[in-house]
Amino acid sequence: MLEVSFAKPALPETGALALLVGEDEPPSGLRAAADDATGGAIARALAAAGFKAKKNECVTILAPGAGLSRVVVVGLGKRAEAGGRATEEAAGTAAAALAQEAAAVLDPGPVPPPQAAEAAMGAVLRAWRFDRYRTKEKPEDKPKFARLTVAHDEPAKARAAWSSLKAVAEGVFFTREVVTEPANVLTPAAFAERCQSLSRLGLEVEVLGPKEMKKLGFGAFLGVAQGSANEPRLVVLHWRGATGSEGKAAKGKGKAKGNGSKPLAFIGKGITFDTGGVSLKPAQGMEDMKWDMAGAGAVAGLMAALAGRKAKVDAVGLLGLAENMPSGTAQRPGDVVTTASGQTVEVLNTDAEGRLVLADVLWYCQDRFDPRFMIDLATLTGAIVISLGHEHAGLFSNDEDLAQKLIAAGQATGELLWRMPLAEAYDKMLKSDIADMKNIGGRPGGAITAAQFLQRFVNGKAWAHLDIAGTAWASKDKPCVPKGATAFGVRLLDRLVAEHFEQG
Amino acid sequence: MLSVRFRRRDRHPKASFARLLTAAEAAADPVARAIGFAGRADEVASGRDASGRLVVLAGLGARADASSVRAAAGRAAAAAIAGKRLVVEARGFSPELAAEAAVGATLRAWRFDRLKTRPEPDGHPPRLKHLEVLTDAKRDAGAVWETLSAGVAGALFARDLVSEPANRLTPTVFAARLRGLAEEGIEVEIRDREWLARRGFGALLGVARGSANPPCLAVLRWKGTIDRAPVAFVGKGVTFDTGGVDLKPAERMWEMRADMAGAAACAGAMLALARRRSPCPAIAVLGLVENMIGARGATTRRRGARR
Repeated sequence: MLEVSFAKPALPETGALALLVGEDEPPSGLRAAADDATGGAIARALAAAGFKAKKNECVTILAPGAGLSRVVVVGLGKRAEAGGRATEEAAGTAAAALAQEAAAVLDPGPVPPPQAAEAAMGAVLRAWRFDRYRTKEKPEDKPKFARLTVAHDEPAKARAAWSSLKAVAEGVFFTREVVTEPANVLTPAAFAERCQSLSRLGLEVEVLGPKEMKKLGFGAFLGVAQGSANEPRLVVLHWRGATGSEGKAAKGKGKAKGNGSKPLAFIGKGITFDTGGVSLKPAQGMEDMKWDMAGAGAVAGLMAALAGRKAKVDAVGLLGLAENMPSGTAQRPGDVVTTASGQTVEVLNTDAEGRLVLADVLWYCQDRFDPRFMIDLATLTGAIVISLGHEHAGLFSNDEDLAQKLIAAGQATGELLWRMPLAEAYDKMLKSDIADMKNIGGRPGGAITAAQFLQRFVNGKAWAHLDIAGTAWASKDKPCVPKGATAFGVRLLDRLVAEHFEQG
Repeated sequence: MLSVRFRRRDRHPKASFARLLTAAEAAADPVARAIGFAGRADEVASGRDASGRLVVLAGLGARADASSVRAAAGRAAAAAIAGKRLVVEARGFSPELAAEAAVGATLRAWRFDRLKTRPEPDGHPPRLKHLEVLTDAKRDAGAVWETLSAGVAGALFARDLVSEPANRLTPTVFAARLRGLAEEGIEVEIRDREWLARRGFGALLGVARGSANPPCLAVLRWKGTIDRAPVAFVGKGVTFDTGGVDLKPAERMWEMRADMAGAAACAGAMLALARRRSPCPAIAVLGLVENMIGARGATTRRRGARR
């Protein structure tokens, strides 16, 4: 992670400077100081570039004098309207322009201390890179940006605000890493192993294998996994930030007792690779299916974030991890499986497998934890990408209040949600000739019938389903998200918890 | 199968009641005329009468024969599927046709619902269990039914097998179900992979290689009483067909669970012969395999591979 510090505003003696600038804003702070030190070079360059300080507009000035190697100026739009999000994005844009600098000082302008921390967050999120498998890259081609100093008049306050954001960034990076890892490295067992490492943050980590799942009656989950030589895993992460050790005493007893001690529950789909199984996918684009575990990745990252910032809340994260392969032991189209809930499912297409895994995990979750609500994240359907593209994830919920809170948290973090319908008429599309339901509802409304399927396993609990198939992976850079794994959902759900579920 | 009884009088005035009418009979019938029911061979009408009883009219077309009576009784059973009991009026029919009405209704009322654990949220679940056929020749109709019901039992046995999903009907499970036919006086012999290998069944074993479920060969024998060579039925029993290395497209591939329908039909036919104590000696030979795409299949069953 980019190393971050906070200090009173001062021009660096050498190295780079980044300035976040509002529209029609007179020079002040380090901008004015740099202009003075360079004999007006900054102002001249901005005028020559026609810089208007529009959102994420970026001008780079090379070696303007005064020992500065580079000055990066990024627009915020109108400062009065620019909240934390705009600051964060502008800082992210600056970080991209600073890739070849080892260190930089960033002046976010006249902002309250928390926004200085948000500027750091934006830069940190953008500067992340997955480098593990590059063995031949020349040193001069590697990004060098390693140290960021955020200038602010009250550095101690900014630093205090940064500590919890840093924990969230670490959660985001955990997610991006597992989502980026190829499927030969990140098998279900390897994923579970990485989750074990989160115990250093105070998370309790439980891992269930096929034997335990068989005892629990996970017929749908195991059916998906049976074609692969890599065994499935169910990972359960517990964070007891509200009840603490008292909560620990109740471990294994199942349902938590007492007012407000019901945990929040997050469930993630974790297909470490999805070939489609016997209903094999076309070769074109199949490589993307390494990130068919992005839902589980986001849940793990979220739990890491909550634990890292010591959130005052009880939460559980459940990750259904399996690999969906065709083989001599694979599930066949038409197979009928019995889920943990006792309901039977006719598996007409083995490529609609995420919902089969989630069916058993959702049921198990509500049965064991009696949570306040369940939110699942899943790269569930191609249909949601047709509906919403890559800009919004699909939100399905049986709970109005939870849905509204989620939408608001999405707007606050830039991880946008769009509400999709649930209705009996869609539910009927799942009618099977020989079992309680089938696992596909046909092409029309494919994302909705998938959600209807899941709803049959929530047992009436408050529940929301985020279909993140269009938002889990970015094909181009965004200000705070380099292209690739986005960790969509981590910041959104962290925000939801922080805003609504950490008081009493 | 529905329970079937032949009776002279209608003893269940609340049960559903079906009448099978030719076009001529419909034209003369006041109810049929009132509702515009013409008695065509594909026609059925149903509704409640003044007492609340469900009444079904099913058309026979030009005349009542075995085929038109079976079809009409089948349609009547479908229309009355939500009630527990159906009474079919056959007092104008010969004993043979009264029995055919039972054949049509029992074939149509069959359903495969052992995998449903709860009623559908909407609609009326099928509940039909009992069939009563009204006839003046109770004893004769019963005797004909004795013979015809054997064929019905065979057909339903086959349908049960074909409907089972492939994870519940592997070659081994299929063979176990066939072993149950021994109770009917059928000799059942199951041969495993080693036996097949010794006998050089290279083609069958090649198909089975990709699957974790081992193949087998089933031989069913019905002795009969005639001292001649048996008639032979040979059935294809691919319990699931993915296409193997030449994988089929995903669209509707689930239908391939029925790729053992030939073997099921042969087994059902053998059951029918046994149930009616046929004098004809018969055998059925069924090749039971699963065609999967697997590591062993991929290396040994390349297109054009020689064996």
